[in-house]
Amino acid sequence: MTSTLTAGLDWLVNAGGGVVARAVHGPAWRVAVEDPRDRTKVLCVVPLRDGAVVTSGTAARGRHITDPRTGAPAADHLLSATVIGPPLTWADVLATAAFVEGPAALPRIEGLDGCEALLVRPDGRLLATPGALAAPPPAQTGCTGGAQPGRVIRQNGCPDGSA
Amino acid sequence: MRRILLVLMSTIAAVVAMFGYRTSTPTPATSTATVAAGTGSTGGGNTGTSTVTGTAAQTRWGPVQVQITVSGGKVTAVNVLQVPDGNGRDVEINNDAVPVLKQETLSAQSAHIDSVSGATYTSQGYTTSLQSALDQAGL
Repeated sequence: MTSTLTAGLDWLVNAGGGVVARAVHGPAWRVAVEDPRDRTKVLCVVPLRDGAVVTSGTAARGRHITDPRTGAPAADHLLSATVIGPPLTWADVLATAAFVEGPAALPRIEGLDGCEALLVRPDGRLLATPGALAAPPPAQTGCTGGAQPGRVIRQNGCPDGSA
Repeated sequence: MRRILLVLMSTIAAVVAMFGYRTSTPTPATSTATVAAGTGSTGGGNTGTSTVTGTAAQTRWGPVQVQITVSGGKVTAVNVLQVPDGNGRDVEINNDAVPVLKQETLSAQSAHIDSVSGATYTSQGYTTSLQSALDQAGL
């Protein structure tokens, strides 16, 4: 879908941490996922060509997410949940739901067309769907590989443990 | 309704311009990319270069207005003309936005990050409004 507003442009909007973009003419945008334990650092980079990247977690606004099943704040089984791919609103909804559900949400999101997910456990390790890091980061990052499907990868998102 | 749409479009233009720039990495010699300078020139010599000034968007705490330079189908420069300063926190956020992004880039030892996704500052209402505006703009 094109519009005269953005004809000929690749564009990216970051709305307070939620990112939506389209890259048609140039390479995919490179969107980093914030480290919820240290907001001056990022865990990894995901390519974004069409859709949104939204992260749900407690880093910005504290324990503001309620588990609708209990009425209490969501359990602390994840530091953050990031959903990649769907339109902005759906990414927001799915990220929040994944944050509440915890690691069990991974196969659920994997089953959705065009959706990928990155979950950060309290120990800092990542859980990711197969396509979340489809394009491996360039050699400069020090990461030599991407996340393995469904498997826990090491701290900082690098399989070999490097930064 | 039209006025609301104009304000939303302006806000989007401002946000796009503020966060749509590329960080760090030296770009190929043929690129005209410059970050942060924002000369305000119009119609530069190179093919397809133009400068677009966004309408000032009024927020609760002041106006936001940016100017972007588009070259070869990419936003290559951003010049922030006005930022909200009626609220102390806005000034704090504005001052933090660029340095934190660059710090994240360096900490991650990454040559190229365009934007950072993190836990949101924004409410559901804001995201809904933004999505609505994007839908109307055909994005």
